[in-house]
Parts: sequence; C-alpha cells; structure tokens
Amino acid sequence: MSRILKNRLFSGISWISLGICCLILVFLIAVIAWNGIKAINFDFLMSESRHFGASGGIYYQIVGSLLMVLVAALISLPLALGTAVYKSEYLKNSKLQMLSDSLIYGLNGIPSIVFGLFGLIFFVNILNTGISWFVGSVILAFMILPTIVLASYQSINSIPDHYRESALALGMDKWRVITTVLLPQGISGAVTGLLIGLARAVGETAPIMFIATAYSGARYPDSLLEPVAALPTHILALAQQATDPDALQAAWGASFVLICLVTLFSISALFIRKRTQILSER
Amino acid sequence: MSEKHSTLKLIQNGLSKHPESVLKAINLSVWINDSLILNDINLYVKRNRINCIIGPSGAGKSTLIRSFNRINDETDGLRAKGSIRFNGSDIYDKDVDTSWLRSRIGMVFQKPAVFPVSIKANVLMGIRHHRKLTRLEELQVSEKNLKAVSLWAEVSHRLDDKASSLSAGQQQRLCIARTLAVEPRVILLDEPTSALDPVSSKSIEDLLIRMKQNYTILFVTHNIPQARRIADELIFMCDGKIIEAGPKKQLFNHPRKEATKKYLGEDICDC
Repeated sequence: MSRILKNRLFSGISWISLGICCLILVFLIAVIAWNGIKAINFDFLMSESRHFGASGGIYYQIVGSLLMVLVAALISLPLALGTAVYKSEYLKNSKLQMLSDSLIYGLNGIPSIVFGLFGLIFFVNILNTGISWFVGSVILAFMILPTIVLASYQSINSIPDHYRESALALGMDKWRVITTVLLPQGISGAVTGLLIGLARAVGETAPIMFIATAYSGARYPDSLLEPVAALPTHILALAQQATDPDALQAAWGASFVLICLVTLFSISALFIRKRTQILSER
Repeated sequence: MSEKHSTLKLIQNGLSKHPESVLKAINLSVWINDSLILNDINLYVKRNRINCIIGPSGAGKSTLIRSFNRINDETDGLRAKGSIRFNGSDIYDKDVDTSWLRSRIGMVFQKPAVFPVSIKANVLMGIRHHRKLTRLEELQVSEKNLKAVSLWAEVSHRLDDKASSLSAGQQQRLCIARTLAVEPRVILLDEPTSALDPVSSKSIEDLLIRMKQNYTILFVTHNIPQARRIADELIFMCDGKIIEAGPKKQLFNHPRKEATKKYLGEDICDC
C-alpha cells in the first residue's frame, strides 16, 4: 500500500470515528427532543404530577432537582476551593501531593450507586435522618467535589509564579496574596468545574433514589429532613410504567426538560471558561 | 589651607550622607537541594547609590538579590547560612516580619506582573495591605507614584482602565510605581529591562538614576553596557562568588582581577 493511501485511510478512519461520536449525541438528543417536545407545554412545566406522573406535570420535580443541585453547589464550592488552594499553595511534599491526587481521582471513580448506598447506610440508617433532600445534596456535593477541585486547582496552579512573588514582594501576607491575586483567578476555574459537576449531578439517579426523593406527593420541603421529587427518579418511575402511553409521553417530556437543564449548565460552563481569560494565557 | 579644609568637609559630608551601607551580606552561603549556589558572599550595598550586580547567567545574581527581601523563602529546598543585615539587624532573625521587611525593601522582577485589575488598583495593591487609605489619599498616592515613574501623563485620564492594556514598558514602570507606593528604603531590581525594548529600557534607566536620590538601589543585570551607563558601584559575580566589587570606574578602568577585566572587556567569563 502506498504511503499516500495509508495517509488517506488513516485520516478517513479518524474522520469516521469523530462522525460516529457526534452522531450518537445528535441522534440521542434528536429522539428525546422529537418525542419530548410534544409533551411540553405550560401546564406540564407548571403543575403537579398526578397518577404517579401519568398525568399532570413535573413542576415539583424541577424544583426538587434544582434545589438539590444548588445546595450541593453551595456545599462543594468552598470545600473545593479550600482543597485547591491548599494543594497548590501549601502542600509542598510531593508524596502527599501524589497521595491527595490519587484520593481525589479515587473519589471521582466511585460509582454513583455506591454514593447512594453510603448515604443510605450512613445518613439514613446510622444518623437516622430519614429520606431527606439535604442528605441528597450532601451526597451530590461529595460526588462532584473532585471535578471542582481539579478544575480550580488547575486554574490556580497555572498562575505564573512571578505574580505570587510580585504580590509577596509588596509585603502582602500569603493569605492576602491568595485572596486578592490567586482566588479571583481560581474562581473562574472553580465555577467552570462546578457547572460541569452540576450538569452531571442534576441527571444522577442512583445517589439520590434511596435517600432523598419521594416518587409522588412531595412538594416544597418544610425542613432539611424531608424528601423532594426529582427529575431523574421521576423518569425512572415513569419508565417502569412504560406500557401506559400517557406515562411514556410524560417520561419523554421529563427527559427533554432534564436534557435542557444539563445543556444549560454545560453551555454556561463553556461560556464562563471562554469569557474569563486566565493570567497564564495572557 | 582652605582647599584642604573644604576637601575634608566634603569627605565628612560624604560620610554623613553615606555613613555606611544600608544592607550587608555577611558570609552568606545558599544551597538549593545540596548544590551550592552562593559561596560565602560578603557584600555592602551603598546608600543612595545604584549598586549593580553583574555577571554571566548562572552566577547566582538572582539568588543573591532574592535573599535580601527573603522572597527566596518560598523556594523549595533552599537553605541559607550566614547573615544579611539591614540597618544593623539580621533579616533572618526569627522574629522578623517578612511583610514588614518587604515593605522596607521593595523588589521589581524581570517580567512585569501587573494584576488583572485597574491601573490605579495596581498602584495601591501593596500599600492598601499596610494601611487604610481614604479616597483622597488613594488618588494622591496614585498620582505621586505614577509621576515618580513618569507614567502619569500617559495614564492620568484612564486610571480605571485595566493595567493589562498598557505596553510592556509601561507595565514595568507601573510595577515600579506600585513598589514605590509602599515607601521602601531599598529597591531590588532583578534584570528589570531584559524583557523590554531599547526605548522602554532607556526610560527605566533614566528613572533609576533619578530615583537614587531617595532610594538605595540594588540592580542585577547581565548587560555590561547598561551597567556602564547607570551603575555607581559594581559587584562582579561568577560561579556563586563575588570576584570583585567597588566603584564602577575602578572596575572598568583598573580592575584588580584578571577575570573582571576579561568579563567587562570581552563579555567572557572563564572562572
């Protein structure tokens, strides 16, 4: 085979791989949008579900999902920033650095169902919280922590040293250098990581299905220790009654809304990453 | 007699104006991870002069200048022996507050590192950490120090613009202004013009010559013509040691060491 032919073959194969990759996504989204959009109307978005979701809407599911991921964000963001700052600015020992890296990657690798089981055993059973949306938020926060830590660590650590030294040389204390020079830069990375994490968290079923959600009847929670309704678990429940065409229609609709939320988070992440030009790229 | 008398007076005046060095390194040795970077350095930094450390790359010039405000403390695996005296007290004493020390001994680096905030906020970055300023004082401090680095005319109408919108030369002058705002006595400059074009370099050189009235300047360069233009005192370093130090004229015209003559004359160092 001639070199030119080999070259063409190789670029052809990589083109096809890329094409398949994109087509899978386009196909998935198209099918969900095609089927889901028919279910979407004002009533569906703004009313309570009835008959286990076969009729009515998904208002409280949307509220529950957003509540859980937003509180998860509030819990995980400061923790992640603290971890990233410590790793980047204080942890000089390379062995500890490696250990912390493997622990963070390890946390990232834990299957989501294990998070769910952990929540069930530790919070619901041992701490006796009962089914609670707040426990769901805590578990989701743990789950997305590594993503945010790594993103913020990268953006803080990539700030060139002469910025740190210039600030120190002005007589600024280390904490002041961190808060006025490094964190404003790190925040953009952290928020990007956070949004990517949230995009993942909002669609997770396994971590919250045992510990945080009710399948029907949940509305606004009155306390931290009450269940809420959530989109992914609602879709799961609807899918189990797929023989009922109304339930199936509602499942498509709820899936479409969920996809829209995920897309919203992901696009905001991209937007923020593009908008904030970090020091190291200047 | 009158001539003799006036000479004596001149010497006395000179002595009282420069009673001694502000900053001294005494038997200073520095290791980074067991490799010896500075080998038994004894250095006197003369008050209100441009003290210029010169030497080939790898001579330890940067490590030496970075020891004077303890910015080296951040470097991994660095170990120092000996002492550095600032106005008589050892800066490596346990109870020395590095934040205070660095407000007295300012430093400007090779690459201008302006913070991603406004021009004015950059000038005030350091001083704000040391004391609270009213809005009026903020403006006064900005104006005074931007004028001191001849940047005021260029930026007075856009103090709230991002500092990154300035040219590299302007950014370096802004970095000097922000160092001056903290009101140091000594200013360390580590090759401050090596990242700049000739015109910007010239304006920084002129600036340093004006600044020496009020500040003691310790300046690192590997640019011999630059040292010839602006230095008062010259310190020639090679391979972690000070080979020869003294007034510029002496080193250029009557060097005691062969190595000094060769380096200053031919830019070759074979030590």
